[in-house]
Amino acid sequence: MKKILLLIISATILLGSCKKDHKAEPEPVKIKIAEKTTSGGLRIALWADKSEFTVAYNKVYVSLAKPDGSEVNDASLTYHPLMNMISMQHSSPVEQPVYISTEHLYGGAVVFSMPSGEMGSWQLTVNVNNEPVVFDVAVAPLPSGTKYTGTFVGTDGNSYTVSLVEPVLPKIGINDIDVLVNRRADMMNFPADEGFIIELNPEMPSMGHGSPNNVNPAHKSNGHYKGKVNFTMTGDWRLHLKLKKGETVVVEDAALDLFF
Amino acid sequence: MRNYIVVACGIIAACQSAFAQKTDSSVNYNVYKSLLLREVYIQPGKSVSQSNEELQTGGLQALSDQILERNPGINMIRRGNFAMEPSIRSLSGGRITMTIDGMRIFGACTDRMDPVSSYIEPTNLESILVSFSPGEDLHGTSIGGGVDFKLKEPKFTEGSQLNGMVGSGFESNGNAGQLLAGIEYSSADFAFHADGIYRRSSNYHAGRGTEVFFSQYQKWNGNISVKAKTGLNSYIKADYVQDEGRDIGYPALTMDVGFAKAKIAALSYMQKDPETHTMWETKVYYNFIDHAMDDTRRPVEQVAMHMDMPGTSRTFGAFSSISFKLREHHYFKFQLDGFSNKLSAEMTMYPENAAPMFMYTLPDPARTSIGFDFSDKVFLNSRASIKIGGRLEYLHDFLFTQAGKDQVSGLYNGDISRQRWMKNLSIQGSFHVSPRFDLSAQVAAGARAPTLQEEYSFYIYDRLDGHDYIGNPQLKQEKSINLDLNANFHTKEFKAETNVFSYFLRDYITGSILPGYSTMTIGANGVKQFINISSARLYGAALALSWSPFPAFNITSTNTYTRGTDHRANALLLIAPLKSVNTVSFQAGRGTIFHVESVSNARQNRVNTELYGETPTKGSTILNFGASRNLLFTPAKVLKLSGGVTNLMDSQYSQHLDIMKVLRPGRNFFVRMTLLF
Ligand SMILES: [Cu+2]
Repeated sequence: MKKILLLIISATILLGSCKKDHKAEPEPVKIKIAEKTTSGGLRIALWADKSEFTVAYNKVYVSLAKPDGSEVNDASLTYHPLMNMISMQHSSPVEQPVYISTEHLYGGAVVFSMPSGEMGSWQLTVNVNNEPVVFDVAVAPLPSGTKYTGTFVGTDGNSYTVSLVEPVLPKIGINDIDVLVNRRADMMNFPADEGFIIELNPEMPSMGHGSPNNVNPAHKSNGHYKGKVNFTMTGDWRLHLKLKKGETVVVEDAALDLFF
Repeated sequence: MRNYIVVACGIIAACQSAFAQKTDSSVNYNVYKSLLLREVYIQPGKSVSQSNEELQTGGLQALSDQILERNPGINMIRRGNFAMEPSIRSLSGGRITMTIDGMRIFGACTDRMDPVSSYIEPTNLESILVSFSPGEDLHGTSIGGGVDFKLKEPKFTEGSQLNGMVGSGFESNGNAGQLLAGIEYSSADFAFHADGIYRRSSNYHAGRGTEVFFSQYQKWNGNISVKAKTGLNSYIKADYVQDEGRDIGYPALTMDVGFAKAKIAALSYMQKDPETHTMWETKVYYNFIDHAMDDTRRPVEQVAMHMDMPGTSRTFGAFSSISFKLREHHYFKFQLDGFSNKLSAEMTMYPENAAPMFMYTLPDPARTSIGFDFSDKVFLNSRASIKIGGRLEYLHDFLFTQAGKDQVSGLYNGDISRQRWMKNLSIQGSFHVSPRFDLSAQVAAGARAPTLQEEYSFYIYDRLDGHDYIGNPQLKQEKSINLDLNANFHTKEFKAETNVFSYFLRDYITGSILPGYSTMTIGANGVKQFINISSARLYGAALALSWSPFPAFNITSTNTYTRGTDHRANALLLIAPLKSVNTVSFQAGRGTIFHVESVSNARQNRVNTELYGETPTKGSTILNFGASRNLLFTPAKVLKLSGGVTNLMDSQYSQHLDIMKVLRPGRNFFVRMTLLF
């Protein structure tokens, strides 16, 4: 009798624990873009949230493993994107990777400012403990009617790259908005610019109306400005961003487009 | 003076006295349209004496709207030739209730295209009961009473019996017509009734030949009712009504209706004990309304952007009501009820060269309610009676989907669900001063919750003032104190009824401009939100006279007037002007009745264009003429013929409650015939 009871109890526990396992959320799926081996024999792979990089703010991940498969989590890594055009070369805004222990990946970001194609092609150099590993990456254009990043010449003579970090998956209603602003110091350096006051005005161009209760993005850290955007309906939206330094308007209308 | 007050507080309700007159056979045939009556019987009778009132109500062939409009206290808000919205003493929308046999049912359209009355046909009905006050045998809290449509009730009979009816009618204006049929089987312990009607109309013409485009409609309606005895004094009854309209034009609006469908089902259990005057009714019900607006038939230049706007409404509910004689001259009734209503309405717009735009216009709001209702009536002596009625209701409003909550996250902060307690109370005294003269007075405290539209609308366009409306979950309930005085005088030949009323409203709900919001609708003037204003007042009077110098001849006159002002003495919206309906009817020989009628509306100048977008409306008078004749083949077989002309002078006119002043029909000849067997 006791044995049966014990059996039942252990079975219930087992079943219970089984159920719990099923409920566990799967980790966000990352897609492997490319893989190489360093001269030191480390396997380095490039990962992204989507199957390809696009003309936008892209999260870029790197995994690093020894030949026996064990991961390396203390390497020093840097990203250097480079666009090779016929007449010139230029880089683009970048956020250097840091190790994310929960994901066993190094995560950073690159704003690809134009698509690869006839105009030129993109290389992403990952320096692993000062050894450059060069990946040729394809950057796909965004669907027409969308613009997730743009470069705008300010009244102060500088060029600013304004990129939409969030929302990634816009929905009807209030969305968190995160805008990254970088100043072009030269063709290779695009430091984050932290000194702006941003006014946000969403608009549906096909109807001409806006939406109420938006919260202007305010600077949080490293050139990221965070606020709220209210999408009252699905469809095409244009985000009008006015960039000011104090009372001076630097960029009148940095417009980004999206639809959902 | 004090005696007067005592008298005034102890009088019979007008509805009771009116009801009593209804059964007084000497004045039987003209009672309806002439006096300030509260209940209109619909079913056609075989006797000649009912013919005149049937002529007024159009037999079974007029629309429910047209029958309602004949009630002196009711005006109809017109958006086209179909689905007019009742306004009781200029109160409409959430301020009145509309129920079918006590069942709560709510239209699915965000543009008020489908009031409940549009889903029910006279063929489905036994009677229409109108009440002008909260706490008066109602099925919901209200400010100004409401309308209950009593469904057809087949009778149990001694032997088994089969009756039927077929009818058809035609109207020249708009080539409108209807076909109807009904059958009823009754026996000692089983009864069955079924009816159906089909109607259609093309565009009608206003006076002087102007065609009113998009005024066409088509619909069918069917009703089945089954009754079976479960004991000596008890039975169960099942009802099912299905109503489907198609291709309905709304000339006052920017869109038409592709379809408007209702499915209404109920199951009731009734127990009666004649000895103790006990009646106990328990009902469970469900109804589903499916509504889709359509702009594809409008000329391209009128449609700024093509859009789809479907909406649904689902209501599940139950109630149990018991009435009994507490002791001699003392009657008591109470009811416990509850319902749950879910609304959903959405809009998808299709711009050229861009992604479709979708949003909810009603972001899945729901309301659940539990209510308790009582009425207590005591006859103090042979002359005086007093009636106290009240209702307590708990309401819970919320959004039932995450998508809905997400969407309104851009408008409102925090929890936007609402819970509230509602109270209605009325005290009514009636007093027979003399056999010819009676008085009644009523004081009522009304309250109504904001409608789900008023709480949660998401940029719903109102054509009247050209604004997009946003709901307001913070709205307080609207409250009122109502006073009602009636004095009735009647002799065999002459009757006079007067009625004076006023409503003192607090936290009146109305739209107010929301500055800084951009409109959603292309071409809209601005955005408004529903708000409470501190107070508003509505008052008015009705006078009805009827004179029958000899039985075959009758003159009646009903006159109604309402006036409404807000807290800053601005005129309120949709207030009907002075209306006067005067009729002469004459019975010639056996079974032929003629009537001539004039319907006059005074000019309405009391409008506030700036606040509510209304403009003055010119006065109008039209003349109607009708005749009816009953042909008796056998006592069991009657052919009813009627015909006539409305708007004889072909006047071009509209009334103040006609949205966008769309012209009403011009001259219209009609013929109707119904065979009862
Ligand atoms: Cu509609």
